[in-house]
Amino acid sequence: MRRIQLEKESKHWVHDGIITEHQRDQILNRHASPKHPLLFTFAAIFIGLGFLTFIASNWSGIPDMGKLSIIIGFLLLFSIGGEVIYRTYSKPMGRSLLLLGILVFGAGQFLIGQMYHYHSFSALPFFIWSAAAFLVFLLFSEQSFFIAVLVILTVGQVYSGFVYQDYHIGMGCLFLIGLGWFVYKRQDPTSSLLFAASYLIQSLILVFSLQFSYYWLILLFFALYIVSHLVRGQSHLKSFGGLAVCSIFILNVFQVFLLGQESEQVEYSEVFFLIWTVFFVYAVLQSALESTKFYWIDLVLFIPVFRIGAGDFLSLFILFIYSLGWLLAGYKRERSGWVNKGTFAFLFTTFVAYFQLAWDFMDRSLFFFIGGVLLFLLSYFLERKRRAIGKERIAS
Amino acid sequence: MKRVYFYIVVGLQVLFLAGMAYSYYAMDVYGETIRLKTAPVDPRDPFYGDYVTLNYEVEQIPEEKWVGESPERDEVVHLLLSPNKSGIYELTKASSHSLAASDDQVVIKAQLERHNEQLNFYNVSIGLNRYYVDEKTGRQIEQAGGNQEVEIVVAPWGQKKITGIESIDR
Repeated sequence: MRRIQLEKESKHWVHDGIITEHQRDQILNRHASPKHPLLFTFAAIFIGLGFLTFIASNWSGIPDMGKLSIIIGFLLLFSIGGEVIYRTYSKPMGRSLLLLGILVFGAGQFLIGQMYHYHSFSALPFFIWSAAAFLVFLLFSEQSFFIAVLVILTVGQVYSGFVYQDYHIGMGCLFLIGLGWFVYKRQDPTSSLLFAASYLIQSLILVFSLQFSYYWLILLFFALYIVSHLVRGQSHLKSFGGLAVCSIFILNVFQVFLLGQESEQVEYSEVFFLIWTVFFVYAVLQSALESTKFYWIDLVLFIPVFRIGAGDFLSLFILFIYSLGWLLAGYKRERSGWVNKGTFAFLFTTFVAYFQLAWDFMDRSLFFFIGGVLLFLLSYFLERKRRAIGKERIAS
Repeated sequence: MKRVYFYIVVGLQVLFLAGMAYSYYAMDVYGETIRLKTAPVDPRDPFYGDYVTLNYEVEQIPEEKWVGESPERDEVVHLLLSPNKSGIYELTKASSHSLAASDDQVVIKAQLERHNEQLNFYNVSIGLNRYYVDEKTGRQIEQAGGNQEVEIVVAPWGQKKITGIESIDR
């Protein structure tokens, strides 16, 4: 019942002697007009936006000291306000304000840098920004702050790669040690997945900005794969393995197109093969000892074929072994997930092989036509087989 | 206790931002003023509305003035500058490693842009290639056609800024 309605009604109740005036007050107090947190939030956002657009449109006219005061004022307002609201009133609202505080600090750095004509020789501003965000994350240990730090670090590293052709060591350490520690501790699948994705992006930046040969990526992806199973009982790290396998699969596809028939005349680093051997022997031993840890089928993808010669053909061969491996293992153990994975990999590899072999000498329309028919037939047989397994399973 | 740490973190952020502004003004007090001669600018029209593009003679380093191994692109390099008779600073030597300066010399940092192997010199940027001006003065600077003296303040902590610009009729 609404309060206004109740006020009217209860007057009659007192008049009729059903309740006393005191009791009526007590009842009415129970129906105190509700707060509207959503409305308050919107009101705050609108006032904030109005203020921001006002500042933005007059920004160039404001003297430097005024700009500085505005930036610091907003930083204090969002940070302190956020902390107080987080502690006393509403966690989500406090969190949003604290996030805005982190944002203002980063933006403030760039605005002040622009105002006073700072010239940066590295991605240092991003490092300082991410370090500040990391400290806030340490104090509140909220996932949204974790994501904020991760995004700042990843964007900063991409910026460093593109603008300065450099991988920022400080940000790399903060990422691996700082965020890595929390991924290990918190055991949260989402955080682990995002961490792995950022790791892959940063691997690309590291290898290409420092002009290493692409094959170092194999080692970086392999490291991610090993870590996914290294620690006992850390099932949240599964996404590491999944992403590592996806990446190395794509790398092999690139090798099919980019590696030539002959071994390339490049000096290959001994260190690469040394580390690779350690990783590979470790993984093979683990997969032999414990079948649930590593799957030898995945390990095939990490073989560095670029050294041997006919790298394009061997990469293709590896991709087929991987696909057929999962298909056969799936049929044998009646695991539909494995069959699906194998099917997709097999169809994709067939397409790659077909593209590689037939593109150069076949008529284009014939190429696509035959390719389509080939894929159609393949998917038909694979699907039939997959369904047969499903039926057998139900029957058994 | 957590609150105290949080306020320390926020305090550090504010200090950092304020420090960025402070160091800019502190250059006037602690910095050393030097004068550099500009070099012609490509493109022809260096005036972009609110700033003028400037190049400096010291940004072109002949290979014989280079000390140590050849730098890579985007690497930070150090320039040792000494004043000539008319008080304008000129390049003495350059290197990827830090250089020692005597009393009248200064060392400034720059970034390698490219190595011109045909003409045997390195192109670097000292990071002061934009001078923010009013619309009217911008045109005057542009008409001087790259023949100017620029007054620069170099702080002991490496920061630098342009404090003045004038055309030379010499």
